Amino acid sequence: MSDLDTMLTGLRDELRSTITPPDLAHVAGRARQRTVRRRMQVGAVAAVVAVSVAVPVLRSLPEAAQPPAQPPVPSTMTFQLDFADADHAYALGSDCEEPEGTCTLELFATADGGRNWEKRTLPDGDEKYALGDLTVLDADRLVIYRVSAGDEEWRRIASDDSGRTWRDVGMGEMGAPAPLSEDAWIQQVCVGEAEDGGCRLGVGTMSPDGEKVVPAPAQPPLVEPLAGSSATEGGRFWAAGIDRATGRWAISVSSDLGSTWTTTPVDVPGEPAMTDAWAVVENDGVLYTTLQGSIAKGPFGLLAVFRSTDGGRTWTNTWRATPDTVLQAMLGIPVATDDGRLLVYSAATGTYESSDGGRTFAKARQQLPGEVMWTRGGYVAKRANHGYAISTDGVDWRTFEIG
Amino acid sequence: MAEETWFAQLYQGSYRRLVLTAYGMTGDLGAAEELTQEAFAIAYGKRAKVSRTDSPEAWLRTVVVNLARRRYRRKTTLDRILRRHEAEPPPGEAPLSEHLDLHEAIRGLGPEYRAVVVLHYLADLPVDEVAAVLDAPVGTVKSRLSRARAALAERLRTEVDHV
Repeated sequence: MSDLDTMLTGLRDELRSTITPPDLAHVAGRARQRTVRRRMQVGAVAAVVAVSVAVPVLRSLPEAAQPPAQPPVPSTMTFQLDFADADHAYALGSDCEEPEGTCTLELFATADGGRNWEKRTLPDGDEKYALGDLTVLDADRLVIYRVSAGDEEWRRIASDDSGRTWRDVGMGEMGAPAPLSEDAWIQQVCVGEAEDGGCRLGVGTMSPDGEKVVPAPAQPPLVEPLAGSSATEGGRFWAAGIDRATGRWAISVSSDLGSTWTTTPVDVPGEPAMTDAWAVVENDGVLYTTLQGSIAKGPFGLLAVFRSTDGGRTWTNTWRATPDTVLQAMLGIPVATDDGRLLVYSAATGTYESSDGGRTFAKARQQLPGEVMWTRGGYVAKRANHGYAISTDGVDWRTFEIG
Repeated sequence: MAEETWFAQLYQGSYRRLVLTAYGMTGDLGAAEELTQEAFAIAYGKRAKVSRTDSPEAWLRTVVVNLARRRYRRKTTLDRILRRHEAEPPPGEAPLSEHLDLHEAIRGLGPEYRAVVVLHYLADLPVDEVAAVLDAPVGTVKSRLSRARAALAERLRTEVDHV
């Protein structure tokens, strides 16, 4: 063996010794959060592109005939689901071949809170895609980003009539800052150029026609703010991130449609591991923030709970994980119930609840139906297969199924 | 074997090799770990199917390679839009005391040469699998390996001469 071969072997062994696989629970948690994270990645890329790409000429796509209601849904299909309000929701289904990662995309719509679904016809619906991402602007308007599997070409289509007809839209020309509407879909937007020449990310929304990115009137002073996708039950918008001034993790809350932000640093144990690690929920004027991640590559789970009773001006760290007490594999967002409890769902250990303002947690008497997200229609929990459940108070849940 | 146990063994057994495979594709150890974890997250969601394949590690490697290619294409698209120049790989994420010179020499190779060296010598892939990963003929891989070795030897000799 030559000297070079000996050195290469030594380097290989040394490199391997520096690579430590994170706990397997981290992978399991990540597997369940892939959809949300992919959506964040798509949003960030779209935001970056928005500052540099001119809007191409729009063209109308031919109106497509609608298939009959309650269509069959492939058992292998997974959904990105979002509600515009209590009645109107859309689900973008992905049926993917692995390991190639190529997907067929299908869109489903409901106007009665998920009780009945209709399949919509997407232009070029037979093509394979590497990625699909749905943004529900309101009850009738929606935008879909798609990335072709072959050439990775981005295409963005919008509909103003509940997905019945479509038109091509550009990547989102930058519009003037404007107050957020109460039911706005919030996303990361590019609000200027960063010091490294890239994009300085902020908080904003999309214009009703889906053609412009509209920054909030004021921006939270955070590096790459991670914003909640819709207002809390009390109508507040929020974002979490590193405070530009202090370099500390902080939570920003706006109670006036994005015109001003109250930013408060919080002390974080361990590493917030994912882009969707933060969640803020509200009930009856009480705000809760939960943070997920891991401590020193240990188990993935709930890292901390913060509580605010003054609209986010001050936060009390009510619960905090140690390497031994991480509530493992917590998924989704917490649920602040009408009867004053805070519920967290863990695929590993079931639902835990706190009845003392997030200070202590015990196994819940009533289990949540599954991983929960907050939508403009209320809390939505993912059940098995194509099943979901929805609740406006966190206590009573109504189940439904897509397809 | 229980499904969870089988997957845990696959995870522990192949994680490091797959990180090094991704490292060969990206030249960035942090990004390589990120891609590998993403690949395992995909596999975890389909573990019943993966367990029935001839080689679960080869299945995972294909996912890693596809993710790396997608990441590269997305990055080059953004770079083009933002008129950004290709960034150098970030400075050594893993300080390697004994083999720092060699590691730096490998990082200094062109992307095509760095990839074959990392995939063959560090990720332990046979030449034909390196060719499959890089979508290049076997002869091209052999030729790049030969040139990369010569370049590494030259760089290391130069550094020794400078000491």
